[in-house]
Amino acid sequence: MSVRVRVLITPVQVLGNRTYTVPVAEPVPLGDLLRGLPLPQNEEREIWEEQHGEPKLRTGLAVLVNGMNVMHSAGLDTEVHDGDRVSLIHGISGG
Amino acid sequence: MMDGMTGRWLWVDLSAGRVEDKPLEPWLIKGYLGGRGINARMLWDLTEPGIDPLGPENPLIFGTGSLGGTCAPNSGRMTVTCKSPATNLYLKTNVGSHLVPDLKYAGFDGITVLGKSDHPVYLWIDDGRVEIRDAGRLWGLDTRETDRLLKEEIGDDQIKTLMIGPAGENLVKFASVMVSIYRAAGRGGAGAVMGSKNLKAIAVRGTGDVTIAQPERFMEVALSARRAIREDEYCWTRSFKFGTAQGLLGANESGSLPHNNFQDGYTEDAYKISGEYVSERFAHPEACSSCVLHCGRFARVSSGRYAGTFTAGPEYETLASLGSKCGITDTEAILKGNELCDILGMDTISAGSMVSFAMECNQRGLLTPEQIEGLDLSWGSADAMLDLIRKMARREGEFASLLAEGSRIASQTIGQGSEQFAIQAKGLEQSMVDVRGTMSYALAFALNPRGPDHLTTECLAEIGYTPEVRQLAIDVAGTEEGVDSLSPNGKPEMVAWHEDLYALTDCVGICVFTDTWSYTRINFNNMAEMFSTATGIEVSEDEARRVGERVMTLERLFNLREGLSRRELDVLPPRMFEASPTLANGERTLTPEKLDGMLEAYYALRGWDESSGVPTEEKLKALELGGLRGDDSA
Amino acid sequence: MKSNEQERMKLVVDPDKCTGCNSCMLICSFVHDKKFNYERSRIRVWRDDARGIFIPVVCEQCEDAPCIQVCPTGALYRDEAGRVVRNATRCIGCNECMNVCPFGAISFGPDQQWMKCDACASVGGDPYCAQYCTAGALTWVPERLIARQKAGGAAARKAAAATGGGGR
Repeated sequence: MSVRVRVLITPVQVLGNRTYTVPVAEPVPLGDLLRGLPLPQNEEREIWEEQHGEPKLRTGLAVLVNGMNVMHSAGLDTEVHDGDRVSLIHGISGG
Repeated sequence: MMDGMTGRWLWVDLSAGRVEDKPLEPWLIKGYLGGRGINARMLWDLTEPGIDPLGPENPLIFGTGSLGGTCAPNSGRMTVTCKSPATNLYLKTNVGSHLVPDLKYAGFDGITVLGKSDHPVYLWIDDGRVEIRDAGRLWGLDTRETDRLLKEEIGDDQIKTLMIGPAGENLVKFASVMVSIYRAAGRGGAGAVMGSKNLKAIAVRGTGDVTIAQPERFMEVALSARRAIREDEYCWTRSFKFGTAQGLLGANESGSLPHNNFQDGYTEDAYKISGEYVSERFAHPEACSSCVLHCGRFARVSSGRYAGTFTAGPEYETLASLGSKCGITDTEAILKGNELCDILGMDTISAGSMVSFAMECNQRGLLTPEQIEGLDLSWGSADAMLDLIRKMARREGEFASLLAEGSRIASQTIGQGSEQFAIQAKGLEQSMVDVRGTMSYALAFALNPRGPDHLTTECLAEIGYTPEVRQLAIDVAGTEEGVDSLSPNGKPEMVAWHEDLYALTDCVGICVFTDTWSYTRINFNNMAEMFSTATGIEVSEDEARRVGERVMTLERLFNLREGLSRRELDVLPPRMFEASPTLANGERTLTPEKLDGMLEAYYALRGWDESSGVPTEEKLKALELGGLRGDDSA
Repeated sequence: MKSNEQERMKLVVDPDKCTGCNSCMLICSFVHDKKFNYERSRIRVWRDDARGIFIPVVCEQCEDAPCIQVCPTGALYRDEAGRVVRNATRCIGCNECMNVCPFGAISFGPDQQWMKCDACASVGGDPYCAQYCTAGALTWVPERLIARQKAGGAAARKAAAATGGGGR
């Protein structure tokens, strides 16, 4: 009964390729799940920043639930269920 | 001499052994600006349909961008244009080239190579003095050795060089033209065209001036564009720190990083091939001429099995193509493969695609042990990847020699249904984006005149992760569905806008990554203004955009003139119509009907015939291409 | 140093950071001569393309400048900001400064003009090359803070190595 959250954020020296497994008894809003992640203090700012005085997801960061970007739909209100896979990633670009 | 550009073009006839420099006609400059644009028009004018790409009638055209050699941001790009031996269609391939400023300072906006030499030669351009020199000593050598010997022979280690490796000499269908050893004009086999002409290398030294018509205003626009790009902290930081592989983990998490020949889009150990990991442990930044972003890499392996490996890159494409697409996450082996491709002169995208194609043939039991000559072609076999790269470059053995023909011919020859999983269209291997996950990419890849890759455009705004970029995408698409990656709506508008932007950017010689990694910092307007203030030739923002559209349209005309229809041109690899287990919960996202719908809407938007996809006479006249279809009397 | 005295500055080069983009050469050439030509740049990036090594070479504004010492007419001198500059009227064009500079930082340009980096004294403002060097290989630093910057950089590299970081 848990959600696997992959935190794939840089700078890699600090955060790197880390996965958290978060137990959820019932569906939980994504924002709550992320706010509850046991991140070390100095790493919180890699995910959250203040925009207009309110803590928001850092610019450029997107959240995928089961591989689908939810930022263009329900965003942090998306409900996350047992067995879901949540990833925080930076924008994709190729070359 | 004109301002901004040199106004002169070098013509090299290798059959006659003659070199001539001629002025560039003003209509060509005003209508096509430079780089990809001038190259495209030259290719049209110099060729008849049906010529053999590896024959002497195929011109090989090198065009600097109009702004090459100036401090316009990221202006160090060069376009190489010819008919492709892989696709028998139009080819332009772009390369970050420190040769660009030297060529401009030597007095030339570009070089067109015609005919074929009867023995290996290289071209030495020393300011205004140009010689065709014997390259017998260099033939057979890799690009590093070639660069070293050229510098030794000429007696100057600061000259700029361009060359082919053994792959180009052996007419490998995906042989590349390498600049300064490691930078590739990679796709479509331009290296083979150069090899077919017995042209081993070009060396340049330039000590002249590029003058500017309106220095103060040019300076203002160019420097403010530089500052604007630099101030896009989000973009710059990730480009500088992680290079083009910055988005690899994101692609993987979205289930669209090609894995095992696009059988799915997720790799468990993708961290080992991520931009973050590679830059942390192996690579540091390098940059093209006048660049602000510095997305380039140099990578070194200091210990272990591949100790001593040194290469430029690896790019996202290479990490995916030699990596996840082959089921390989051995970072050092991938770096070694990258180095081999660089020094042997081969496109990493296609090389990796041939390896993964072979691996899937093996998976499905389509090959006998004799055919694969003892190779272990299981997924993840780095040894096979490295072995095949070495062998394909030199056409060693029947199997590698077949693979060196590219996946269209290889799959036709092997048969047994392998055409279904040759990830190629029109004869060119697809680049490392699973277009089943993003409809704008699917459309752009199908329309790309050279084949399915991301270099006519990447509509990154569709997956933009900042509110501003998201809004830009919606504005351009004309609908909120523009940012719905699986919706076909709004995608024709997005693709057309981006194509024009990229085409213009390629004409002035700026790096297209600035267009879409750092939206709006480089735009139609400031590119027009930099061109105008540099050359003194007034080009408005609208005219500049029209140049982009003109070039896109001319490229299509070239392919239509070869006798192909939309059914043969605007195509994707068959696997792109299958479902991917890692996308959209395993449901099919793309059907031929869905693609057709987007294509037809795009044709209409472009003012082409909606069912045939052929530009109408009206449209051609509006773009000053009237009379170019069929009989090229214009 | 009194508050109304000009601070002595230095153009510090960190070749480890140079990515070979040559933006410094392009901008230097243009800012001084309004044209683009590497031969008009007062800073020269030497390239080893095969090994990916790029080294910017520029006038070091030496404390004990050989060019000032060798100049027979006293045309070369140090200004209040610490830059080695030339009085054109006194210069007789003997080339001795060019011969003696260990860095090759003095040269004749395409118009036969005497050329040496003057940290943009003649065009006004802080050195353009440092302003536009995005890799941070060129920085315009108060002399008294140079050691801090370099030590800090070295320490950061050590810390990165110690915590598993590498590359550069």
